[in-house]
Amino acid sequence: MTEKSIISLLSETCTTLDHLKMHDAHAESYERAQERTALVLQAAQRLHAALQRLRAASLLLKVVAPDCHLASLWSRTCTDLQKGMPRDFRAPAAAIVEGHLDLLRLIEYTACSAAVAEERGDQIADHLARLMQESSRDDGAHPSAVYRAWIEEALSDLVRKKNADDAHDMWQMLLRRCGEAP
Amino acid sequence: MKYPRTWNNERVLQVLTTESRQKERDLFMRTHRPFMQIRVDFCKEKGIQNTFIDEDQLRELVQNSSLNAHNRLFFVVGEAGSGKSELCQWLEYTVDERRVLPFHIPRSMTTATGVAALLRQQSKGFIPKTLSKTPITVQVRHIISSAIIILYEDRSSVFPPEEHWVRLIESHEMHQMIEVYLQNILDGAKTFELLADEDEIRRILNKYNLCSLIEDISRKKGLLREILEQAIEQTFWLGDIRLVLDDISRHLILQNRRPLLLIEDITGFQTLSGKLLDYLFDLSTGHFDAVIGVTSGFESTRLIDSVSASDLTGVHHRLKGRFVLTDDHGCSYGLEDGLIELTRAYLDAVRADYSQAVQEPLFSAFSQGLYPFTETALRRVFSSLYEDGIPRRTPRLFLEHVLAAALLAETPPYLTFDRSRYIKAPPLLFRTDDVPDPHLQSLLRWYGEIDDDFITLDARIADVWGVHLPEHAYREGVYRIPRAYAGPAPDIASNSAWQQELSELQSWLNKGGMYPSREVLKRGIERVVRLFGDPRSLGNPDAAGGASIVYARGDERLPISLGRNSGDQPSTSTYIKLKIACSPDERGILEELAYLALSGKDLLQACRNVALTLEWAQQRWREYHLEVRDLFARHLHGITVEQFIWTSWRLICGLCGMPWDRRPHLKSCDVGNIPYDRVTPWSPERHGACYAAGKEFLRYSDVVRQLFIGTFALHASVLDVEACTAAQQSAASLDVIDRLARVSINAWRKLPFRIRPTGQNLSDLLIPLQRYAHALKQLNVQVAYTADLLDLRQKERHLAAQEPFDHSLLQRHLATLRQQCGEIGLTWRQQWDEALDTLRSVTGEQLINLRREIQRLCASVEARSKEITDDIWQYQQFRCHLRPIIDHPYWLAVATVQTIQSDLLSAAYTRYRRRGGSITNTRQYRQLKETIRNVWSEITDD
Repeated sequence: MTEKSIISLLSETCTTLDHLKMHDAHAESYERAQERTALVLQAAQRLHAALQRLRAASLLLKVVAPDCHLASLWSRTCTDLQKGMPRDFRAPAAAIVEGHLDLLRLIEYTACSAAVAEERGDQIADHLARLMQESSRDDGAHPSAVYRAWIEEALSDLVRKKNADDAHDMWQMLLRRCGEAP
Repeated sequence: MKYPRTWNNERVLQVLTTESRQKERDLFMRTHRPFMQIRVDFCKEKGIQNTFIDEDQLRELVQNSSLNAHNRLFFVVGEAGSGKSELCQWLEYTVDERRVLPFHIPRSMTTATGVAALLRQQSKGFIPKTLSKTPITVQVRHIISSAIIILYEDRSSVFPPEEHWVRLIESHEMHQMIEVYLQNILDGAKTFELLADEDEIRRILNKYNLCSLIEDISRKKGLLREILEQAIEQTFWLGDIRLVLDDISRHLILQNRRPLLLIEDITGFQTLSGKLLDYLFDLSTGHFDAVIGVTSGFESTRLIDSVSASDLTGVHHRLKGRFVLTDDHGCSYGLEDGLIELTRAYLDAVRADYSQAVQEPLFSAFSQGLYPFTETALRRVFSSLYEDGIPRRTPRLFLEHVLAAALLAETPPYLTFDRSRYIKAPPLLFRTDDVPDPHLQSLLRWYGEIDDDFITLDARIADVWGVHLPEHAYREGVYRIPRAYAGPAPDIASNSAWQQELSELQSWLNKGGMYPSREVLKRGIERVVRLFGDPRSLGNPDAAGGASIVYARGDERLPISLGRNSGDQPSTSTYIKLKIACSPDERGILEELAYLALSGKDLLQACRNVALTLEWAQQRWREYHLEVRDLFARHLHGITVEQFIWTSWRLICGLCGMPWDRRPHLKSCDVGNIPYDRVTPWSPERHGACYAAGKEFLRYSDVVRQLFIGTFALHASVLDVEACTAAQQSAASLDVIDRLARVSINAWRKLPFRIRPTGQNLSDLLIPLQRYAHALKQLNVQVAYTADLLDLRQKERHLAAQEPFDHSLLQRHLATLRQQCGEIGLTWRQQWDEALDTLRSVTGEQLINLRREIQRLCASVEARSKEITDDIWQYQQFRCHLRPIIDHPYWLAVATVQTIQSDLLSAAYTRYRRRGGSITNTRQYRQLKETIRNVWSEITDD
């Protein structure tokens, strides 16, 4: 038998129930934030990969054709991204938890940036493939897709190596590869 | 005591012989009394059946036939001693010898040799003598050779080794013995026995070294005699008796006579019976008339084995007539009617000098010359004749065991009759304490004249034998005493052997010993004892209804044990009986009670002093009743029946919330639909054992109430105050509950106490009562008080916490509670509405009053805290006072609200069990930050 007033007991029960409900709502919000984080993470990772490829392609182009008009694409891309970067990009937690517009802007920026970087990377890679085909002693004995694949392969290697020497070596190796019989 | 005689014993022995043939013809004819009633079972020649004829008519039936008629057989059937021999003897003496020639074969003649000699002797030479020319020594050699052949062929297994026995049979001694035997037979000695001298036989066996080989010489001697008799029979008859009988029949027919065989008793015939009967039953073989005595029962057993007939019907088909001398009870037809004449005839024959018999008072006092008998005594002793435990009234028994025994004895006849094992003495029909002298008792038993009210005796009879007569009962030559026991009503008398039963009682009262019809006395005792009620009932005799505890041993009948080795089993520790010791003081009363039972009369008619008898019965009732009570109390550690019922009812009333202390009530404890936990003083949580055992015991509330009414109420609603006061005081003087708790149920189960009228076994009630008492004893009253006070104080604090009681706020909270339940999805129960309604309706004032009540009760208990003891009754009372507080609906409502709260929170915890956290602490977010840093690094790194 409780020695408290029934009224206070009932009041306590109500309070307890409110707390429980609040905790539950928080938990739900947390779950949704986790889902949003996953979405943003995926976009950021794509952007990062596209930037790495674009930078490697730009480096290789500088070794092969330093005067090519595509050589400025990298620096222009960096400038564009810095300019358009949303306020919350480097501390996205609030935007993820709150959702709404900030989160939309963040996702839009990330996804669009990734698309731009990928497109510009493709332009340089195509140009490099043509250069390679022209420079080869066999005079374009291989199909153009093969040259493109060799370029993509070389870009993947160059993502981890960032200096010009490495790019030069890579190009030489590509050229040797062009001289080999198909 | 004196016994004047008018005869001498030698003459008695000559006249009163066992067999009729032991008497000379004159003596036989002098003592022979005609058979006046011979029942004809059937007689084919006359076409009569189931009628009575006399001996003359029987003789006519036997001897009246055509000369050339085939064999005619007549059976005379009767018990041993019923007169078959007498009849045969009479026929031998009285038949018309011009028409028939009788051959009387007595009972003692059971061998072929004897019959052969007899036939030869009586045929007066017309039977060709077998081996008449052969010297007797040659006959002996022939017999010995035959015996040796029989031994080798048939008896070799009985006489091992045969060579030793053959040497014995061939011996000179055996040769001599057979020769002497044959010579005796041929000389007409009918009863001379072969190998009769046992010493001689033993000497011969010794001589031939056979004593060491045999254990039972008598049996071997019998078997040896059988071989020799068979050999003799073969030698004499040359193997076929039929030829001899044919010769007899043929020769007599030529003389215009028929042979009449009078065989006294076929029962005793040995090897001969088969051949002889086969000849006779083959009706066309000769022209014999045969009267054959047959002992009752023999026909259906051994007779059909002796003849070629397949069954008794086959035997009867060959008979011409069957005559029966005794009835189904073994009594000779017509003997009772001619008893006095028969006695007179024998007494006349016994007395050489008749003049002595007419001396006074021997003549007139003893039925005109029947001294030492009277007609009364003769008829009484005749009707008391028994043999082998059954009534048998035949001439031989009467002559040998009444007349001869009385005449030959040294003591007067009444004492002889009392001592005879063939006479079952009739009872004394007067109270034995009226006649202390055993001689006079005996004399009155046999010679007393019995009328409706008195038993009288001619004083001269007592005087003749020197028996003293008390003067107060003697008047005008007659001794007269009141008759105490008369025959019962005719319908009862015809169905009961009341005299025999009275006689058995008197014998038991005299000398103790087996008393076969003791049930009669027990019925009488029970009848008078039960006038005071059933002593086995332990209820209040003044009670007008209800139930009672009864000692149920004996069912409908009172268990009574008669002492003095009557045949009754004595009482045991658990099977107690009403004991009748049979002291001299109660002898007369017991006689009266036996008579009461067997006469069908009422107490006033049967008892001389009813007050005395009732006092005796009441004393026996009281003794037995106290024994039953003592048995009850002994197994309940000294608790009396009243204490048992008083305490049981008090416990039941306490259990159903209606306790009482001194003044019990009779209200029914049927609490109807109210649950047990709402009436019991016990809490299932705190007094679990008492609660459970009490619940079980309460099932017997109606039984206990009925017992209480049957013991303590004069009416269903009126208490017997005296009984109540006594029980209250006696129950208070000992700790009944403690004693009940210690009762051994196993020992109790053996006791046959039941509840009347339901018949329910008392142990059915005692078992739950004992468990309840045990639970009560286990309860720690002090601790229970403390726990109750703590609980009360807690309740009091709870109520204090409710003040001030905001009724409207409570209403709102209750509404919220209901709403929350809906939200959470908790199923609402109907009974919760009742509780919430209670809470909604309760007022602050009511709660204040309840609190005050608790404070008052707590204060009262605490005020007398030093007086509180382990008294379970006080505690039970306290628990009953607690009941209104505990049962207040507020507590249930509060408990219900708490239940709802508990259920609601439990459901909420289940429903809202998810838990959140900070997104920045997640691995995924840290990964994102890292990626963003890399991107930033890429676009800002030169």
